[in-house]
Amino acid sequence: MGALWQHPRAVAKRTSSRNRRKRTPRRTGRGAWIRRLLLLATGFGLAYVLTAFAILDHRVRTEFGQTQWRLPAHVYTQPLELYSGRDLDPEVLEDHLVAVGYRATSAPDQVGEYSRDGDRFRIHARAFRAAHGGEPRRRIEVDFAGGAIAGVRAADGTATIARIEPERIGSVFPGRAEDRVLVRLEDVPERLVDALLAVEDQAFREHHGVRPSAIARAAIANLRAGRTVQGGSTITQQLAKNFFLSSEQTLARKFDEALMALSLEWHFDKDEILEAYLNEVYLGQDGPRSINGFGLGARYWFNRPLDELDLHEFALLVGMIRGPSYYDARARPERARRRRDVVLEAMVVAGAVDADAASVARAQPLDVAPRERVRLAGYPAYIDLVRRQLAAYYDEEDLRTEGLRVYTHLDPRAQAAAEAAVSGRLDALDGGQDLQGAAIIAEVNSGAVVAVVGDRAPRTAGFNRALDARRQVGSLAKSAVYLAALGQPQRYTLATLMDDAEFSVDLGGGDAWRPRNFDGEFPGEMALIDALAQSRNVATARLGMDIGLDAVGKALAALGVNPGRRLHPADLLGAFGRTPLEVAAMYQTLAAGGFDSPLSTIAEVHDAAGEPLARSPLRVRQALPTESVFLVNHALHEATRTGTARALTSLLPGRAVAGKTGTTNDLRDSWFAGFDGRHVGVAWVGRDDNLPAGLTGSAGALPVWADMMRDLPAVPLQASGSGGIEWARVAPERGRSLPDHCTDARRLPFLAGSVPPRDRDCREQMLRLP
Amino acid sequence: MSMRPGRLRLLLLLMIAILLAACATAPEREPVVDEPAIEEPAEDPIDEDGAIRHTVDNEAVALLWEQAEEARANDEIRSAIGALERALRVAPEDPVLWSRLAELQLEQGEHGVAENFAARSNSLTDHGLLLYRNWLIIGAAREYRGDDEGAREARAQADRARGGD
Repeated sequence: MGALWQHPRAVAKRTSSRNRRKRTPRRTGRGAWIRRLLLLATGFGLAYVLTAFAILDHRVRTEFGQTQWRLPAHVYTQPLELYSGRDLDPEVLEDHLVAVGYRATSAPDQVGEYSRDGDRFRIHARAFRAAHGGEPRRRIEVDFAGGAIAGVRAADGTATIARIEPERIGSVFPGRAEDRVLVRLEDVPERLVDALLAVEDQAFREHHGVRPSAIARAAIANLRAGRTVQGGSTITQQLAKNFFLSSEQTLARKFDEALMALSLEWHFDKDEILEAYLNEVYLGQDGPRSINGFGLGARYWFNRPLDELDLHEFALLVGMIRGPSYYDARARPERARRRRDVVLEAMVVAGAVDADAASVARAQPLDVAPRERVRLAGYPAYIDLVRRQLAAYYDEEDLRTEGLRVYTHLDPRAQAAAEAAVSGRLDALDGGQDLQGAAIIAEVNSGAVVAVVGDRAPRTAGFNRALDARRQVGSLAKSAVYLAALGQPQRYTLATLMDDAEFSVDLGGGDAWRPRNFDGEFPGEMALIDALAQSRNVATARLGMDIGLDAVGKALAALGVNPGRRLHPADLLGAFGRTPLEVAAMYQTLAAGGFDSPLSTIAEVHDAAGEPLARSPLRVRQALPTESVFLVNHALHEATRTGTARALTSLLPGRAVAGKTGTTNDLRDSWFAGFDGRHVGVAWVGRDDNLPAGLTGSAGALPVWADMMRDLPAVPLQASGSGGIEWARVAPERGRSLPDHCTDARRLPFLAGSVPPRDRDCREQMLRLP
Repeated sequence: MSMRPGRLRLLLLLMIAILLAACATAPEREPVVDEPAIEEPAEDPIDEDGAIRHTVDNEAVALLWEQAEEARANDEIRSAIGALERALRVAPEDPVLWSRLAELQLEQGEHGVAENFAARSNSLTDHGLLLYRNWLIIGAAREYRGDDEGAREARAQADRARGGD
């Protein structure tokens, strides 16, 4: 067996020498028979080992060689635009400067420094390249007043527009599903490597992947102790195990692990193996997420980048390799501390540090950061969408390039607003219930996605509800019904009287569909604008059946949410599922006056040298007549004033917004989709198990939406399409329009030419016969 | 329409450039305009009525517009587009920015994109001259695509827009 643990070339040598030895010898008949049997067995054994090696070697070369040695793509936020008049808090600028590594000084002489004197910033800005070109290195001065930028000036005092470089928010391997804080060997502090080798594999630089003597020693120690006390695995073996194999400890696994270690050493050099190990090693468990690699480990345990750690912290990290939960520095600080000190001692013995340094380190506390302060992966839900869009829309060849830089549209301010809104509102809503939530914010004009939240604990990577929770949309679908109707101005205007009285649709075979209003009432007639604003089910169903399911299907398709099958009557009230991302795309089209833009996270992709490889340019496509959309949007604005979303008058006072609540059967899903002139946002609240959440759209998702919009700049609704619109005062119950002086009467927009015939008097004249 | 469409387009664009520069840039700046180009459109009736009043209340938009114009003059179309896209993030409802982007896309040979941008501009304005210009872009885009019927219709719209001013 011993030969198996050696380098394959050594195996071959040894076997042949053994064969030679065996050729010299006694020649009895029985002996010859045994010899032949032995030879045969050796042959089979050898063939087996070689085959196993060939298979494992192939795996090592293909899987490991392809994925591991590529540099990850770095993902960035959008740059921070600074221009006079921008609605921006000075704290946002300062946070951003700090996040991208600017230093505060009293006199910013060096590049990368800034000073702040109340509302005045002086910044010695770095040069950078990002999406939409770059910025030169230069000095700028930024003044704030009243929560907005009052002026941006260049060094010579002229007005200018400037940008601060984007913040790096993560690294991804375009082809792989996890996100890690990857480190490169040259960026890893030497002390950490010293500590690692002193404890885990002192002969790392010399061996060929396995060390039979260490294995034998470990085996003896384990036998004596009656349990596993020593590993005896080299770093290469540990890497093979972490990278390719499950953690179960069987002899067969050990065998595979050893062969793979040999193969790794054969194909890759020591530095490559070490770097991979540093990025693979298992260092903890954060709920469902395993903490792999020292980069992420440093974040998880100390909430600091690896290169800022000190000796005692390196020693603790290395000590935990042996058993991250057994030596959990948060749960078992005493045990972790003893382990750390063992590592320090081993470093002294190995000559990696002197005794004085080690005793200074021993005197330090553990310095582990409280879990709640740790910001692990910045924006898991957003980065998840970036990764998917990279894979879906970009050339695979481009993505193979090393060290890509991916510039996204992520706006940290909007993202923070969305995260706080989802977790804050959900915490306030449920007393220990299993509510979950998701939110998305995009720019109306461009479809640029600026924020994604996929979990009420937004830093948790896992099920990304914003992209993957496909839930019934309920009343959100009604906008399409009214859009289809208002596209027929001779039959329907916002002033058309609708019948909200009970009715049923014959589904054939004796079945009937009887839509009911949410409040159970059937109040009779109301103007079309109010039927949408108040989300009347019966009136909407009747309207939809009237204009026909085909027409509604077309409108849904134009909004990008056609169910992809023949519509059922119940689809008029949203009996089909869509994800929050898809709903956001639907309402983006409305918000932009019928012009649809793909919802995109990625602005540009550059190679490592900063050369643009691919860019997602601004694209709009007219999907709907802009005038009909104007009318629907007017009704959606009415919804936020007097309809089901009227709570917004107090939640967002003074803001002109439009939007639609959505509630599904038994209160399983609570939706709100809405927009102002700049941003379109969608919020969803419900339960993962699809049990009733007990919330209407206005009780659950609407406040979440309001909270996130509150932190974004207030931009009035767009007036797209108003060119083809006529305004008139109306008396819907009479089916007439009125003279302009009838200021008591309601004023509504109409498609040009569809204003109802005008009465001469404000009130209906009763003819009285004496 | 008696003028060649190509020439007309140029003329209108320059006009918009002049008006933008005059209305929008910081007061100490001189409008940046090609000398000979000013002379030519001066004879045109469209120029005489001088009806386009496009005001930009934002310094950033004016600066980015200038950047875009400079890039365009140097034939750096991509960077001109980049500057205008940035400007649109500041002023998303500015129909003149959309219209200029439409023009640049037409130059890039992106006819479908140009048509949609021009339509987007139209959705944000009821200004006759701008509508006129956008319909001309739409007509040109359709013509490039071989949609003669659509191009004719666009030109009829252009005439209506101009007449209605």
